[in-house]
Amino acid sequence: MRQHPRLSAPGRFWPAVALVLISLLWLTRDLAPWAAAVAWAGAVVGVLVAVHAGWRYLRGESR
Amino acid sequence: MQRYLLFDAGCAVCSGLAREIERRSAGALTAESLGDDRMRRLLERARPDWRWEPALLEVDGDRVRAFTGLRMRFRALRVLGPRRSWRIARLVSAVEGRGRGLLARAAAAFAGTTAWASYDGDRQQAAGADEICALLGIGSGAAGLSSALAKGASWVGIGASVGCYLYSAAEDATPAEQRAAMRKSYEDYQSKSDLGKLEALGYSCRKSDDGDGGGGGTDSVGEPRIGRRKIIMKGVEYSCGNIRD
Repeated sequence: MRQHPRLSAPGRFWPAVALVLISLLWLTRDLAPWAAAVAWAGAVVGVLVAVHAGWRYLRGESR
Repeated sequence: MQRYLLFDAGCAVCSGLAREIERRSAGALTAESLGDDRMRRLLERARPDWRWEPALLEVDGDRVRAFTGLRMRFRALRVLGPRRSWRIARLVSAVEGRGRGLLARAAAAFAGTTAWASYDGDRQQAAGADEICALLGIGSGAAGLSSALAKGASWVGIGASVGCYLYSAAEDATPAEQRAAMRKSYEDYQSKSDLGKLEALGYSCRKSDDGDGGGGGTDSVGEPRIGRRKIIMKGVEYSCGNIRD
């Protein structure tokens, strides 16, 4: 099976932002509790990954 | 087997639309009022707890089946086939007076069918669809993060989820809002010139030189040559081709 290459920091950043946005978008809807929990989890994970990827990228740039 | 498209005869736009759909279905569907006694009896047989909403009724001897909401849309698609469904959807979107770009037209056609089919529609049918769409988008995003999915596939999943969200949000309009929007669109349509109306219906027309006048306001359609058709509107003859067909 084809292995996808490990994503770089910028490569992770935008999908993370997209994950946050799509999660927040769906949180504006009246979802079932389990789906709302998934959306909240998506938003939190997205923010963490975006911050982490952004931090790594900036640290790499400053070296 | 007889198939009836039941609509609210109290709504002028719905009646006109249902009759036009009947015409375009080429005999596959018969438009009938929800208020018709015979239809109500059939509907009660198929679904004793039926509600006042558009429905597709199938009568096959003693067997009666009723479809509403999403199931009606899928059933109609199956009965009419994609080509006729597309034409009908386009008609609905023309009445709604939406955008003209290919993408906008496709979205409008889809949304138009939905708006019509879910007019006073069954919101419960869509229950669960939001959750599935949310899961699709969030799952695709998360898979994109972890490289479990190719990047392109992840973006496609997110895009599909956004489309689903827009569709779902459009469905949220209350019946009164939908009715007002349809009425406004209908009035906009009526205020167009004849050429504008034909264009809104998906035809690119020009006046024929040999228009013979006549009266009435009744339209008729002929086949003067391949790819173009003759349409007589209010006694004026137009030579028309389909727009982006």
